[in-house]
Amino acid sequence: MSIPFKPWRAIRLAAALIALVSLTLSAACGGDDDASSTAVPTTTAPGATSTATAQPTAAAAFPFTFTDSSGTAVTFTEAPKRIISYSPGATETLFAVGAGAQVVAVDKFANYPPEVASLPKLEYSKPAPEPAVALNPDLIIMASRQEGQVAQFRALGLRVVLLNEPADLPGIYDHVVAVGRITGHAEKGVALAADMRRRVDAASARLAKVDKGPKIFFEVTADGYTAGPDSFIGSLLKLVKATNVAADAKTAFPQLSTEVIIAANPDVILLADGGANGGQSLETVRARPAWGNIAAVKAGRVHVIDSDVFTRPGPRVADAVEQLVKLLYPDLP
Amino acid sequence: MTTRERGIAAAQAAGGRLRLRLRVPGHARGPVSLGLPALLLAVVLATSIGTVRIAPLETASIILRHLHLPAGHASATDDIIVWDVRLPRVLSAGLVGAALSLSGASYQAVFRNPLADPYLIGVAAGASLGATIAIVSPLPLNFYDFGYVALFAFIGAMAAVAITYELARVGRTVPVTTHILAGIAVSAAASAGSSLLLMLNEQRAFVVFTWLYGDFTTSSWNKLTLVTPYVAAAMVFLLLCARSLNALQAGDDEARTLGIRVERLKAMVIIAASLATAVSVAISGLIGFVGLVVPHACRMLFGPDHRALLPASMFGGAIFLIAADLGARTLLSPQEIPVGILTAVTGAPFFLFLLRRQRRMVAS
Repeated sequence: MSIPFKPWRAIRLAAALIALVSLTLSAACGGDDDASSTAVPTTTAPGATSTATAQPTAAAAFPFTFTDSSGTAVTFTEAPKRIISYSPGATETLFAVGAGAQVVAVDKFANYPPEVASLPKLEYSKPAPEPAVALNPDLIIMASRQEGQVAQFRALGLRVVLLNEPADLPGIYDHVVAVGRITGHAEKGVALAADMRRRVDAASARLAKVDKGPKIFFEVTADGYTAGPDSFIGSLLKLVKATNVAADAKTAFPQLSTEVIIAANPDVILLADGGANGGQSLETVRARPAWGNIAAVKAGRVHVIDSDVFTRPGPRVADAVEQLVKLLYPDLP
Repeated sequence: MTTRERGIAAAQAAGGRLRLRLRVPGHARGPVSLGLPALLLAVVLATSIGTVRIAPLETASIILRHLHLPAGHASATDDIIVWDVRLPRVLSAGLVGAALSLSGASYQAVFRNPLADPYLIGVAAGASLGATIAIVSPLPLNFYDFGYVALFAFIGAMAAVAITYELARVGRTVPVTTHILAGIAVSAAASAGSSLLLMLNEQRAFVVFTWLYGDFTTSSWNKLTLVTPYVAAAMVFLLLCARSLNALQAGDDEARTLGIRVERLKAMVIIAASLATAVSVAISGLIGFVGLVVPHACRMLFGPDHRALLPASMFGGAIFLIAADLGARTLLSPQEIPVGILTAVTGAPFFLFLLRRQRRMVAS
């Protein structure tokens, strides 16, 4: 007795099922797709960076159209009153330009300024849309981590502005001005950016007579990860004329082997993994085998820095630059 | 008439008009009569529960209104949450769960090995490599539609299956052990490739990890309507192979004497199961344990006859993953637990329990 295996019958049935299922689903959902998609204004050429051009006067604050990091032109007719910020850097900027009262929720990594402690916290990596929709926001600010979901939130009728983290200082100044403008605090944004620029330029000016700064190792983790020249921190180190031990690295956060660090013999070591971030300190570094001979360790120039201040491209970047100058050039007048 | 009365009247009218005469084969009657209502209940429950409190009746009326049936009114926000956020998510979880467990049961039948799961012959590693390539490349990142990441994941998965099959093929036959070993080798190579890419592009590493954990956060009607026909077709094909898979359990030669073209059956089952798995992974990432544990549980409940086991696995997998996804988005609300973690946390103890049963059976 044979048990027949009739592939053709199966394949015919499968084809019929494909057709039936497709018809049913497109009938049930086809119309709704158009209805639920939000009317986001025309998309400009992709790759357009965020710009806030000339200083706006108070009278012409709204309406205006802003092109975000995804190249989408978003129109603002009035200042948003219920902002959700998924980027800790953007959160700091929002509060710094005076828009703190307009923020209704932040991501779970936001910890500055202290006022964010009382705000509801949302997921940072791959946030779920439901809590966001429930908060009824009129503006959502996303950064590069949430880039893959901008389309999803927009399709649900939410206004999303993608502000990828700026890669350099001029980018941060633009970012601050843009956030100020979007939230109806254009003057404050411009003033804050100008103040940051002034402080950074003043710090750089103090280094005018310096030819070459100290050699520095910026430790991100205890197993040798550091900041390369392509990272934001790397650009800050270049600004203060320090020589980065990882200057020849090809990626933004390379891992260096211990022998490379010892051979480079840095004059200063900055620990981003100190305290609550990883428990490293001068004592723990000194205890590492072979690290005791490094110039920085012998001179005791191993400093713990607040990684939030140094890695978040936001209003505290001027603090970071001033701190760098103080740590690297303690004898400068 | 209240919303409830109107809803009931509409359902009765619809049922009366559709006089479905569908003959469910004998062995499948048990699983289907239990599984189908259980699945419907799971879908309704899961759509009503979430971070935002929406009354079940309001949920029902929102769904009815979108199906162009008479229903009451609901706020715009609740409407978006139920119809655009929750329902596609629940249905996607059901579809992926059904596909993964049906594929797992089919692989276990073809390889005659209780440890076979849908990721055995390269689907997982191939999909990861494909997704990693897409995420670290300059291609635009859009998880909401079936974008580049999903496409590359699918291509990677099917390519890995094809390479594994070719590596293991000896003439016109594919010995089972060789096939599994080839799967391990291809998976190792693909994983190494992914790791290398991640090392060179650390700023995208986290995005890759969140994709790998597997979740239904970015579920959408677009993705669901695009993939359902293919997954459904593959699943129907597998269901129809049930009798042949039964015969295969006796051994390749024994099955051949019964008139089954063994190599062709194995190849087509592997292709169909891999297709269903690859498409599921493309839209939801890697969710483990569903394809491994659910068929075993169903085997305990409905026996090893594939005519009952396959439909049971399908419904069981769908309900399991819908429940796991519900837990994933409500247990630590508003934070989400990757659903793969929940399936592992429930799957691992169950596997230990199975092992103990096996040991007791062997000892007695």
